Amino acid sequence: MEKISYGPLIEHLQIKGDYYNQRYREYELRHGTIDSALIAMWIVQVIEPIVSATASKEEDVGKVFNPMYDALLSLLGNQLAITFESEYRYAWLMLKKNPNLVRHSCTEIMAALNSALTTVRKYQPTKTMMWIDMVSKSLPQCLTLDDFLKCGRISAWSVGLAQLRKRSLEDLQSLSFSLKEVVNNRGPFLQQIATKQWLSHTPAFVGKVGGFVGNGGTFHCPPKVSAIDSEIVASDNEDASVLFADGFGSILVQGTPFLAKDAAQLATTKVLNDFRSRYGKSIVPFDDITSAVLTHNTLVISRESSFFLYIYGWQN
Amino acid sequence: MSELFDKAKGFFQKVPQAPTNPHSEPSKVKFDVHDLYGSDEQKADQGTVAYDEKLRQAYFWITNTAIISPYYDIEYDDGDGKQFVFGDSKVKLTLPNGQSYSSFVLIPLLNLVVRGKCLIVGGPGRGKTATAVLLGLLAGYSKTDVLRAIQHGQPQMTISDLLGHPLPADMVKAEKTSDIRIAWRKWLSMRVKIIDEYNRIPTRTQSALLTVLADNYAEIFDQIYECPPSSWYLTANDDAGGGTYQIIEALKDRIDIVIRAFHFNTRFIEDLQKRIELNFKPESMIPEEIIFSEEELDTVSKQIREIEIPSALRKRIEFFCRNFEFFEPASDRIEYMTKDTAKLSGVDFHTLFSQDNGKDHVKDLGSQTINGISVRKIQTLLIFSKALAYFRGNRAVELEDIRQIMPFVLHDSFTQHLESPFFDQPGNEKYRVDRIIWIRKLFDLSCEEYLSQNLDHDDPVEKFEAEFKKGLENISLRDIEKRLLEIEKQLYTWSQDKKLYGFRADDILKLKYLYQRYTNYRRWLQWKK
Repeated sequence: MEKISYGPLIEHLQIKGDYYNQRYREYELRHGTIDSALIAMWIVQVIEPIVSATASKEEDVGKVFNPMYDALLSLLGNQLAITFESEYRYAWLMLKKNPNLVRHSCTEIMAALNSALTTVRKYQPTKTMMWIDMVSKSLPQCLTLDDFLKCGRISAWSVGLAQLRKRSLEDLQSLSFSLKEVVNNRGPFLQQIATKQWLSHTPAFVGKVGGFVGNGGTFHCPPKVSAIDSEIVASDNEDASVLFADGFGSILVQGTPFLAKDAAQLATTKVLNDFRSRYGKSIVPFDDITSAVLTHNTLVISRESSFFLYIYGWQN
Repeated sequence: MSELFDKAKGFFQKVPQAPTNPHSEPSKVKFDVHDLYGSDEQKADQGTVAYDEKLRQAYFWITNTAIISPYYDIEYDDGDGKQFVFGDSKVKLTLPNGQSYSSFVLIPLLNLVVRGKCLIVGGPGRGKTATAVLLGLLAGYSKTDVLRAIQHGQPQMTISDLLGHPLPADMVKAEKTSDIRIAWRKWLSMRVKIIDEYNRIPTRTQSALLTVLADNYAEIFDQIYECPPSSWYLTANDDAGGGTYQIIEALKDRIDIVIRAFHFNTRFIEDLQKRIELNFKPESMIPEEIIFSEEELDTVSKQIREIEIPSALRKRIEFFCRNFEFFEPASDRIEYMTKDTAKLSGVDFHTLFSQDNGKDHVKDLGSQTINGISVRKIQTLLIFSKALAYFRGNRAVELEDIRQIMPFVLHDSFTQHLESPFFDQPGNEKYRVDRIIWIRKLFDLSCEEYLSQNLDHDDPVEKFEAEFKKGLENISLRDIEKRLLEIEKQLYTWSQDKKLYGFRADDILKLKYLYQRYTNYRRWLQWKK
């Protein structure tokens, strides 16, 4: 078995070892057998480096080790730390960069970090590492837990979680100077997308979302789209989803309070004529459009022959 | 003469060096935070202290030297053991190939290491108290201490006799009861507690004993004495109510395990003669190698808890236990269809039982008892099964361990329903008399039913449980609804069965529980929106 070598951590485990063994047994009761070699490996390779970077006294070690140990048992129990090992390892190890914050708010940070990873993975599975990288760069500048949460949200929006756009724009305003600098240094598009939503000056096809449920998509049958309470709602007659889209990405959020049947009934193609009269017919050349929603800078259409929603965006 | 005595003493104190049950040691897999630091060599050194071997050495010293008990009733058979049949009544005798044990010695020894409460029942002069005293000595106490600590039940026994006296000077000076100091009896602080003839203790004193036995503390004049965790040995000449006092139900219920003292086999009178001639007293000659220190007993207790009960075996125990509490005539709601409901109502059990029409009462194991199995008994069954597996040098419990230990655990807690048609079947009359073989038969029948239902490979509840155990985090509303539908489908399938048996009732209630958990989660998801 791999061994730890950091003195204060050994001292802490000597004192609280029985408590941690008990916690392990409790998690085993809940989740079934948890591989002891994996726990040891995670403690030695991930938790110990974080503890040694953040806590120099035995009293402080507990504040960091305890929440990390609990989170580890939970993630190993539900297999997430096995399936997505590299993501969690990379994300946890970045915490070494801000010892002060981790020492004072380790429980909250662990909960927020693991929850955020699940959310980012759910909506943008290919961009999880990118999100961790962004948070990692801004972490040293975070003075408070609130700063950390804001950075996490802005980063999530930047990797395509468009539902966070509104909240992230508020967060951007309230960031400290040093954090703003880190965020703005990410590239030239952030400010542009923040203010204009899209990069293109004229209406252009920006992407499609949805797809057939059997292929891992969202819809059971070709969807229709409608505007309800200033939201763009897609419905396949079974479920209703809300579409969020901007220059960073487009996603459908399921489990909304809208009723699928109502949304389908409100679907219409009337707004398409407005769009075509303003920008011409060639941009949206399809002749099987079943519904459309038009806002001041976005057009979303659905088609009879497709399980996807087609999105067009432009700077207004 | 003294030389001869020394030789004899050396013979009786000898503990053979050969391992008592040789086997290969499987690797340990449980996580222990303490393994994360310190060297592996140090750990390996600690691991080599084989307390299970020491336990077996103690057992064999007692059976071969101290107590003449040539009864190997806990049988382990490796394969085709030879069988013989005697007499017209076809009495079977099996010569088991595996190492078998005498319950009269083994179970009190296991009780010592699991810190249980063991009742030894039997006629006078069968060695009940002698066994308890030997185990006190094995726990490291001196003979004087053990003998002094034995509480002899007698009709005049008061609470003060049992627990201690208030100091006379304090009785005069004290202004409030909390000022009165108590001279607690020494036995309360000991890790082995022996109550001899506990059925001769008056009822009021039994209640005081119950507090110590059940809650591990004693109370007099608002003063509390907290006892250390300990092993209890209670003896009774006749546990069926023939003592001077009736044993209170609660005290009876706290007894973990019951063993019967065997009669003396007259083929061993020669051994008795030798003992008289050599003035041999086993309690004076316990070899030091088999005496356990307090730390060693703690370690053994910890190691026993780490013994694994494979899920396939646990499922057999679950299946067995869920046969007994269900009682359909008790209510029209499935939650209240229990023997407890019937018992609390005061209505005659047999009257209610006669209303339970249509079921095959010979097949229905629940018809053979008028009560179910308590949580305490299930816990005792699990820990003693682990202890037996540990004693045999295994790291996991085997089915035979459960089968062998179960009758001793349930001996006193199962009340037979003697009017069950099962006992009227040809050849089953003996089960009315001998509870040990009856309980073992019950378990065998339960295992047969378990196998006939193919529950090892096709247990629908297990699938639902496994899914639920993965947790509800990030499960979508659609998935929850799918799971709810699956539960409904399963309940519908079961609802097509014509008869409802105990094992099915618990399954149904488990699915109802899961359904409720999912419904609550669904409600939360909808609220979150």
